[in-house]
Amino acid sequence: MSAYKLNLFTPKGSVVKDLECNDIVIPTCRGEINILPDHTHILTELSTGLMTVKTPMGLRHFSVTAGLCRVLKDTVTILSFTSEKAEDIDLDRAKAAKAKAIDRLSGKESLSDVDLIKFRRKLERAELRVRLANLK
Amino acid sequence: MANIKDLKKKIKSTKGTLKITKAMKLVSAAKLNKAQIRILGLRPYSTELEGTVRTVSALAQNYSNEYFLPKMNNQAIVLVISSDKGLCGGYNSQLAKTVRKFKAEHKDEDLKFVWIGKKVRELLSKEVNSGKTYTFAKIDPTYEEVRKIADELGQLFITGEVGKVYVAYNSFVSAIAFDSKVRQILPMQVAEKVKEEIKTQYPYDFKYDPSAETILDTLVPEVYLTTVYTCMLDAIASEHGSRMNAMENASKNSREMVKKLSLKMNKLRQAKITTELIEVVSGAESLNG
Repeated sequence: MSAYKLNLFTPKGSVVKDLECNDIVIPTCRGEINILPDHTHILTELSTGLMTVKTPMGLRHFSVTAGLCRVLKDTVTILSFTSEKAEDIDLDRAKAAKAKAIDRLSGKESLSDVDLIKFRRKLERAELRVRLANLK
Repeated sequence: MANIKDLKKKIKSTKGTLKITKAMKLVSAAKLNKAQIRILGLRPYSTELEGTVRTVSALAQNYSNEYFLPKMNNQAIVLVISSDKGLCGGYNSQLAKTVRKFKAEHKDEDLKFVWIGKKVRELLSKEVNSGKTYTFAKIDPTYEEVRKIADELGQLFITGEVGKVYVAYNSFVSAIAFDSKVRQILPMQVAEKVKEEIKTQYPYDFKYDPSAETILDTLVPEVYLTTVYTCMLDAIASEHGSRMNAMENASKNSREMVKKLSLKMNKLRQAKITTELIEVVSGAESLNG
């Protein structure tokens, strides 16, 4: 019997529902937290990063971005704006996106503030995907 | 009495209509499928998010947000989400009926209506205080486009220009059913009674990180946006569902009509042949006679 059931929801759909697990590492705005059995009830803000889940079937990895994490009794609910499973990542595409973002940010052409933020976020996401893909 | 030529024409045109309604049904079914995946995917997220904010705002003592504060203003804005196209059964007329009823029930408020989709606007604009119409670049709005509208309405509320914001839309129940409703989205209110209920249901000592107030500050606008977006997707899914049904019924009716008309035509033709035969036979008889 696993300690927790994990739900991971995004506006685009549920990534996992009622996933049995015992150990979850979650990136929050104040650093990573590790949820082990009998954790206290907690509500915290997520930050962009990798989430690692230890299930009876082995380790699983997910990317998460801004959102919310709630641990209540035996359910862990993660609401993230976007999330991807490690299995779904296309490494080549992620690498290409990363290279493109680096290129745009290298300062060859002047960027507006909005674009600068946009490409920084893109780079952040692409890097995250590459890291995630390497974990599979 | 209709002659055979007229009936033939009628059958042909009905068959043409049948082809169109059948095609429209197929298109709607495909679109419904997509829309259904979107709304059903969003729902767990939005319900969880809303539930969390409700719980936290009930548990956090004395927390208040600009989206929560009731205003002393009597003006209210109603966003009516309908469709741009017709031929979708009772989709628009039912919503118009609901809005009319809502208006009658809220006589003490100064209601202003803004629109997404032109059908209900056409039905109602003469009876109500009609405002702006929002349109999208494509048929299906993106999250960003909905955010713009939501922000605009949210600003009106925060600056105190309006005291309440409602959304009127058709909520998606299943492919063959929808539910027209008007929902108050601002100010977000958690009734005292519900608060007490939540407090008894959650006797846990929640730990907040960084703090309940900070979390709520970021979550409340997000909840507001997600609510508007959910309404929008609900409306889209029910539009396709409703159209699919209407077209299904129309196809069924056309098929029956073709059957009925063909029968009538065949009877007439047979009658004509019989008459001609009798004429020939009696002509021959008289010659023999």
